[in-house]
Amino acid sequence: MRAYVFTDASLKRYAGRFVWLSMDTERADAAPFLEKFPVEGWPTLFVIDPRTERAALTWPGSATVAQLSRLLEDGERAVKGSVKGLDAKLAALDQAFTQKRHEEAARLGAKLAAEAPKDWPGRPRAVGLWINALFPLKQWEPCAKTALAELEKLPRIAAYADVVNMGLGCAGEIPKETAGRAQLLEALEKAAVDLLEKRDVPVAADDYSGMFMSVVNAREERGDEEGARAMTESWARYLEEQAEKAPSAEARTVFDSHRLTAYRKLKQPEKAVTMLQDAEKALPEDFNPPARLALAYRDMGRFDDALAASDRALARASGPRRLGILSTRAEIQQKKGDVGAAKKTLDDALAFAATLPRAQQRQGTVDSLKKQLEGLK
Amino acid sequence: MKSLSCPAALLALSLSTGAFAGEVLPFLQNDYAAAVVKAKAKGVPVFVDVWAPW
Repeated sequence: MRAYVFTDASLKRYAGRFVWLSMDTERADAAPFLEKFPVEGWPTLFVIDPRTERAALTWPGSATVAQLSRLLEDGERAVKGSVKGLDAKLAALDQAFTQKRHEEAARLGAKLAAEAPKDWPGRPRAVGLWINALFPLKQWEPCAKTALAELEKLPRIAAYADVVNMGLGCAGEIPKETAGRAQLLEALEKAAVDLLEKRDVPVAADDYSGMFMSVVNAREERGDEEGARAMTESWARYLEEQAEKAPSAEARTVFDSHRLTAYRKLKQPEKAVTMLQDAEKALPEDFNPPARLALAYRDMGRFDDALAASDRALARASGPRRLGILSTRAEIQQKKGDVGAAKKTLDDALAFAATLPRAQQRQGTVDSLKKQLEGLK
Repeated sequence: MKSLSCPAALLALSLSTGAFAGEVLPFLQNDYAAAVVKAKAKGVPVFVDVWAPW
């Protein structure tokens, strides 16, 4: 969004209607915000009433310019208290979702989606919140079925692509022995492939890239290795085309992480090296290019180069972002045969994690580091 | 729309990067308290983009 949405000149009309805050959750000074507004995914967008310091609206994920415009209008109206009719019901759904009353949000979302005319402009967002609320409830099958059913009712706008993606994600989480799982996966995968072939829905290139990844994951889930590889090859080609078209080095690096993932899946990590070296030159303060280079070199068995890249990444990274780099570093050391160094790296990572502000401590990351350390013993 | 929430996975997968030139909206960087004070004074809501540079 930072590269392709917030730069859109049409958003200028909102500039004076909000105070704009960019919150990098990895910086130490993010802690006071995160204590008040914990997030579970990135990006997350909020519209906050400054009088009460409560969120009028929370949006879990990225948005196109059109989606963001609608979010801003809805958030502004909710803060002013000037909502009525279906908009008031959407504001109530926003409140339930924002306050993590997910069962209520799912119920309100289902009701509003049933009640609202198909062409009501707020309906796609209501459907998105409904399906999103089913995620934390782990209602995978209702989520996938809802997504599939809603595809027939939604216009082919960004929300349609979001629903395909979320539905595929949910279908993949349904226990393997569940009857009908394969059919759900297949139907949602078909919708995703159709989107990728037609590319008629106005979403950003990174959203299409996410769709490629979802299809690859779905095919892997179904055990279709050949199909997954073919889709990964198409994904890599798509990303190369998009990177070629990017207007600046910063915009080009937006695709680096997905390109690296695609190349690694294809067992061609060497294809990422020049791209990441160029990114490191263009963005010398950014820890991402060397952190990604460390992954590519690790896969290539170039462990000394991987450790040197890891050193450079650590020199540029602060806060919780260091933990992922240290985890990769320990893997490189282990593969190199230096188990003692790997253990020390993980001990250091866990000690560092304990020093982070509470709002930046992530139990999942700590558990994963502990598991990695346990595996070395 | 639904984003991944595992930091380790995001190191490899996320599409976020550092600062971008050409933003048309006057974003404050990481200063929540200043944003609230400014928004109260102007009588407008605060919009927050919560992101991470993975």
